This record gives sequence, C-alpha cells and structure tokens, in this order.
Amino acid sequence: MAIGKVNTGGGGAGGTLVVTGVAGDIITATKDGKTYSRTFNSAGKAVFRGLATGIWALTMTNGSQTVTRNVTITADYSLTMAYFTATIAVTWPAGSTCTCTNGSTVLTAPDTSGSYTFTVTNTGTWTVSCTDGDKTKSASVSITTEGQTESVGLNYELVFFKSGLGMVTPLTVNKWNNNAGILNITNEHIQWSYQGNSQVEISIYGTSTVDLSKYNNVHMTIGAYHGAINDFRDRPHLYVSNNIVTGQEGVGGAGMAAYTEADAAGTWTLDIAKFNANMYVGVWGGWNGTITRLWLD
Amino acid sequence: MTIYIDNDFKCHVADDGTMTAVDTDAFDGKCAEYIEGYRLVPAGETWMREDGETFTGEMVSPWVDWATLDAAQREYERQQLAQYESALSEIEAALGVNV
Repeated sequence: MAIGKVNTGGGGAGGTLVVTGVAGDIITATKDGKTYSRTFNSAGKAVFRGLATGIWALTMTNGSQTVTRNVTITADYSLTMAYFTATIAVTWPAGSTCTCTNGSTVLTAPDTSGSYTFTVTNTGTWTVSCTDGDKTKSASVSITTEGQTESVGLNYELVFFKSGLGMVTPLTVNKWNNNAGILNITNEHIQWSYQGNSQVEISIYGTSTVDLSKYNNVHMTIGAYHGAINDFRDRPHLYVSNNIVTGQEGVGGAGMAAYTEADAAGTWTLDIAKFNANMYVGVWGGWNGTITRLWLD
Repeated sequence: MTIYIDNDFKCHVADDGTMTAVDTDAFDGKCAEYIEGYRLVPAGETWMREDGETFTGEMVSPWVDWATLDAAQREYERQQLAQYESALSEIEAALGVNV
C-alpha cells in the first residue's frame, strides 16, 4: 500500500484524500462512526474532501473481494488500493533514472537520488533497471506473495584492476608454490613468473568482500601463460568464495563457490547472477601469467 | 566424482539416459541438492544466459540461488556430523570407554 502526499489545492476544512483503486468498485472511509462512500471513476480514482484529522479506515469492495487499509489524515494524501501489494526497495547509482517493469506496466522512480521503494500490485517477474546515458544495469525480482518485500542494489561496474590505471580497488596478491618466483605489479599488469626451473602460481583476491547482489558477472583479462598442461593448478581460475583460496587447497575448485577456468589468453567471464551475499572475488592458479583487467558488472 | 549434465549444462547426480557424464572434483563432499543447483559448462563449450551474456567453459556456477544451496549443504554436513558422532558413541559404548 502506497501513501503519498498530493497537493490538490482548493479550500475548505479537513484533509483531501485521493484513493486509487479498481474502477467501478466501492470505497468507503470510516472514522468515529462516520462513513463516506464513493465509487472509483473510470481512471480508478476516488476523492474524499474535508476529512477530519486522524486515522480513517478505507475499505474497497466489489461485492466478492474486500480490502481495508488505514490512513492517517494530517494533510492531503494519495493512497493506492489493491487486492495485492508487494514492495521492491531499490538502490542504484545516483544521477541515473530507475524503472520497475512487468509486461506493459512501467513504474518510474520519482527522482534520481539513487534510492526508492516501488509498490507493485501483481505477482510475476519484475525487472528493475537503471540508466545513465549508454550505461544500464538490470536485475529481475520474482514477486509471488502478498506483502512480500524485496531489495535490489544496482551498480554499473566495480573495477579491481585495469591496465593503465593499476589497482583501482584493493587486491591482495601473493605467489605460492614457489616463493622464489617473481611477482611484478605495475599500472599495466599483475605478472608472475618463475625463477630457475620451478613453476609459480598466483593468489589474487579482493582485500574486502564484495556485495555480489549488485552484479551479474566477474571478468578477467589474462595474457598468455606458461601452458595449459593437465594440472588444475596450472590454469588460472577466476572465482568467488566465502573464504580466500590462497594455495594448494584450491585444487579441484575446493573452497570456490563458483569458478571459471581460463585455458588461453583472453577475457573470461564467470556467472554470479545467483549470488546475493558478500563474498570474495579472486584469481587462483596459473603457471606464470599476466592479468591486465579484473572487474565486475 | 562423476556427475551428469543435461543439454542446458545443468548438473544431475543420476543419468536419465540423455545426459553427458563429466568427471570432476568440483563437487567432492557436496550433497545432491547442492550439486543439482549448479551448472557445469565443459571446456570448449559455450552457454548463453537469458540476458544474452555468454560464458565459455570450463565454468562451474549455480543456477539456483546460492544461499539456498549453501543452506542445504550445511544441513547435509550437520546430519553427517550427527551420524558420525552417534557411531562414535556406539563404538565407545561397545569398548566401554568414555561411558
């Protein structure tokens, strides 16, 4: 149920209540033994003027279905009546527009502040989207239950490392399997290589966890590495996890809630759309290698 | 362990006659509900998510909300631990130790 202020102007004592409901149905407002009735017009609107300050009980009925909501009158308010309501609280990058869509129904946030709670009046899959120029981000929300509340956070991109910028978001970088190996971190790349004849693998992870509910993908761009021989640890793995994976314990993907394995140079992407918790993002393994970009979107 | 993937790369613990067997360590110690909430895209294969994003294997990632799978796995481990402790108690009783 949504209540908002509507400045209808005009004169007279008491508050003005604009109720939105089902066209043709009856709406009654009751308080202290007084009852006023209206019929929703073709636009689904009904207006009560001159209501005394206090809590009014609003009841909508079509003869077979009935719903009652209370509203406190202290000024002019609008009220949306529906036999079904649920809410979706959305946060998104300030300055962007935000919409909530289901089929032909498009709800638009009233401002670009970056925070708004949508009231939806039917079940189904609602798509929440934010847009700023050519940037856009969407997420789906399944509404199934009366009174259901959901929260969605949208973000365009989180960059850990980008060639030319270096480390944008803190990463912890360590080599393992051969502490004599070379680790070289510049603004262009994170590079690891062996010394002598011993291979060295890498452990890279965000120093802090990331709220994965805001993102659908993790990407890494890697250069050519030593070779994809038949050993799990010799290939770089992009992963998300509750715990940091730092060494031999990661073999076989142990400790990784999800991973993608790179078997060649290029950009590799991991699907994280079903993660809605704070988790670590990391890269593990790979016999010598170079990473030039690591990011989420 | 051997798991089975269908034509959408979703994992199964049993083959219905139409699936592809995959040998992987990724699900060692995991319960059936956890495994069957995952998708495994083998190396060289490509899968497209409904929003058009494409993913090249090998990729192991859930198609069910991960919190649900994690809860199932934790319950599975709790039950296993309870079984082990019960068995240990029986052994101790039989040996007459820690009674």
